[in-house]
Amino acid sequence: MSSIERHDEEERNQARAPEEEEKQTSSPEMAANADGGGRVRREQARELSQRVDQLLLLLGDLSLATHIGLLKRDLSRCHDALRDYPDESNYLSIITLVESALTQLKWKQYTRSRLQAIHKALDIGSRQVRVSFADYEKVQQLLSDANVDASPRLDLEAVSWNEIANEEDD
Amino acid sequence: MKKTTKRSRFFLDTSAVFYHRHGHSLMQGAVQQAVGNGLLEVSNFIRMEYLRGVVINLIDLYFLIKESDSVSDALIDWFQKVNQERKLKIVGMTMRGWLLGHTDWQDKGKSMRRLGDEAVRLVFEFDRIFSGRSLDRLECQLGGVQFPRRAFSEDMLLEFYEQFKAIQTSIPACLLCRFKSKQRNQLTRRGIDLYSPLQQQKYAANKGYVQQAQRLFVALASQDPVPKCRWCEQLGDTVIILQAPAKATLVTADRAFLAFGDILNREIRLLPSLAELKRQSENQSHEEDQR
Repeated sequence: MSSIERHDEEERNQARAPEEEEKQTSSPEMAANADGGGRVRREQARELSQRVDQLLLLLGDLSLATHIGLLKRDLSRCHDALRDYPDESNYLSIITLVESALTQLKWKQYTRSRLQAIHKALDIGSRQVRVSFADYEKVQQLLSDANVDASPRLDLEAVSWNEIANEEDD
Repeated sequence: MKKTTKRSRFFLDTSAVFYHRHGHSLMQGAVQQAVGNGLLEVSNFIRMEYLRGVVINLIDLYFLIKESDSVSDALIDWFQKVNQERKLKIVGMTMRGWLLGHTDWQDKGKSMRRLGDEAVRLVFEFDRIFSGRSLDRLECQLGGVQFPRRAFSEDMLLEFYEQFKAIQTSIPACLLCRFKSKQRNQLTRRGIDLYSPLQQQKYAANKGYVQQAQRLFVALASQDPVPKCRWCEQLGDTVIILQAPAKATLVTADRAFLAFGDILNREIRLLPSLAELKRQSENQSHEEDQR
């Protein structure tokens, strides 16, 4: 078991029991939805974590770029898988957070510590209990601590001279 | 005895906040160079400008996408609108690039969800990063609008937008009128001429300042007995410089503040313009290519 997996296992054990989470769903329809959503979310999270594991092995290799493309595609597919489960909204917010971070990174900027943070962020969805807003906030902090910047940033190279003409006169 | 060194205080205006939060690495570097290890401060008024300039426009884009045929159509319309305002151009370029950088950005649902999440995150991040706030003498109500800390839903965006617009279009419960008369008395007492035609002539090359001075002339002549958000929209730079803590250096990318700093004897640290930084970036790439 890798150190990431060991840590994640500990986190899962510390999380609330599934029975406790189930008590929050009142109607049978909601319960069914919540259960279905939870299963979909866990499956997606496991697949995404595996993708990041692959990236870790490819650090420095040219094929990393293609695998980043695969991860981005899978993250995008998560929208389709989870959009019908409002109870899983916090995990989808984690997905968009990671997507935003990946749009800022060039392939050479991927490092072990950054990928480990991304792995940990995505793996939160693979546990039994629902992902809470507090979990989402923790992930934001986790990525920030690992120097994974998810804020939209201006790409100066992509800005045309036309667009900033007269800017210095103002 | 323990020797303590006082850290310098830096007050960031909205343009500096944007450089810091959303700038290219060269823009972030410019802010870092300007402030060193000093203490960063913003005001509630700056938060209001950030919400109005960035977050409200992102919410507009979200619903524009929802109500348009395609993400591309919505982006064209939105970009035309934000491009009309000089200060919002940079917001438009940043957000457009960011949105189009995602996989499947053409998918309306996905782009909307990313935008929605981002709008909420930006507010939380702003409050986390800029925890140092200077005294808000205006008690700007708009600057205090918040998102609830709960799972994302479209309703959150609507409620935030509605609350923001309700304040903007009504009579806000702020201290603008008191601030205005207090500042006017102080300036008169200190013999400071902030906006006269003579000053406008002296700083004629500074278009941003001249525009503020002209608006100030109209605002001070107004007999409006109640505060209105539109005054602050028009006089943002003036309010910012008058509200900036006396012991802090104002950091900005807006040249209008150079004239204000000169008149009010305030230290201003001007960040390089986008054009200047783009030149630097191109030179860097050119050097890398030659290596």
